[in-house]
Amino acid sequence: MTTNNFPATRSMNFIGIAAGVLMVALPFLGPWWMAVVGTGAIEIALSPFDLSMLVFGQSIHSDLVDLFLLASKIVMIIAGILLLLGSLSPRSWWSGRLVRFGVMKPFWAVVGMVVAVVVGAFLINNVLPNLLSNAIPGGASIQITVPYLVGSASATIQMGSQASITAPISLSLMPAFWVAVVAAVLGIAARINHRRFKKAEQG
Amino acid sequence: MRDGALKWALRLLGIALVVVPIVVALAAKDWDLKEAVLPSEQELSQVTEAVGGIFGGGFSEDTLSLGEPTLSGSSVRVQATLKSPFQVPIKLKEFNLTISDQGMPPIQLQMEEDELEIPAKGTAVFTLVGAIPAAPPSNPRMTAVSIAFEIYGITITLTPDISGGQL
Repeated sequence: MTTNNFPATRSMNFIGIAAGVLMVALPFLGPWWMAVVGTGAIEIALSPFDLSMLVFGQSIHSDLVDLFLLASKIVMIIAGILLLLGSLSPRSWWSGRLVRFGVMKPFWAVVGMVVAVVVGAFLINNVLPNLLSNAIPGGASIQITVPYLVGSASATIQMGSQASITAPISLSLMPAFWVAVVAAVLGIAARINHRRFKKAEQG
Repeated sequence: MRDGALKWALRLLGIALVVVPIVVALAAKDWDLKEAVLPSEQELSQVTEAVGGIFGGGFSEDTLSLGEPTLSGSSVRVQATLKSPFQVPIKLKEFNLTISDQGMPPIQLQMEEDELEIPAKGTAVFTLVGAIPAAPPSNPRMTAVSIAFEIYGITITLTPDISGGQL
């Protein structure tokens, strides 16, 4: 027997379970996006859970950013576990709250990271050249064309007629990003699926 | 009632995970926002040292030495020795030299090799070749040098002002 074309016998939100498992795994899958200048002159590995910046092999970090990213990691794991619990028992009174707490987090993490990278590229292309040319004694002509999310380009710094520096820049999305996209899609689907459980119960 | 309690518990959890890192980071840095946000002075000085270390003492008079030119028909070959001042391996990609003499067109010498790998603080020997006019210059002077090399994949091109340099 079905209600609203939904099998009443089904007792678990399997899409939510899949999304929950991916969410718990996401913080441990490594960076989502990488930027490399030259061959290791500057390396940036970014995800909503970790930021690694290496300049000529020396790492740079900010305590506040590190703690935020740790909190983001904890939030994602908790949200994944709550989504799992809510999906394992979708008809219980608490499942709706647990599912809603976590289900959109991968989506916002993907959107947030893409926005952060695009805004960062915009600032590097449009603001950084002016700042650097003023900071270099005698002035310099600086052309930086960073791709907005993925791709390759080069930055050129021309210091008078005596020196120029050309650095290749390579940006790439890592496999973990695509796992996050899958988790985000499954999260949205899990939310819709959960509503069907509730409707089936009310029906 | 219990649903409301769960709702608020989850909201507070979300807020706590935003607020606690800010408080902890600021408390760890004696409530100094700049210290909490920016990398430490030690890290920045390590980066500065790393960059300074790469470039070593920079170019000096000993960096480049040229051998005796060998004439063969209308071409000239000069053996050059470059002592790398850099603390990391570099790739020499271009080396061009301009030699001038009064009343004569300048002679352009170029590196014969495509590119050369030079180890850290190492020495590279390469050949500069160029065409000379019918009469060789009597008082040749090095008037321009152009060097392009690659460090960590970054290409640096230098064209120092050496006008008046005796060859």
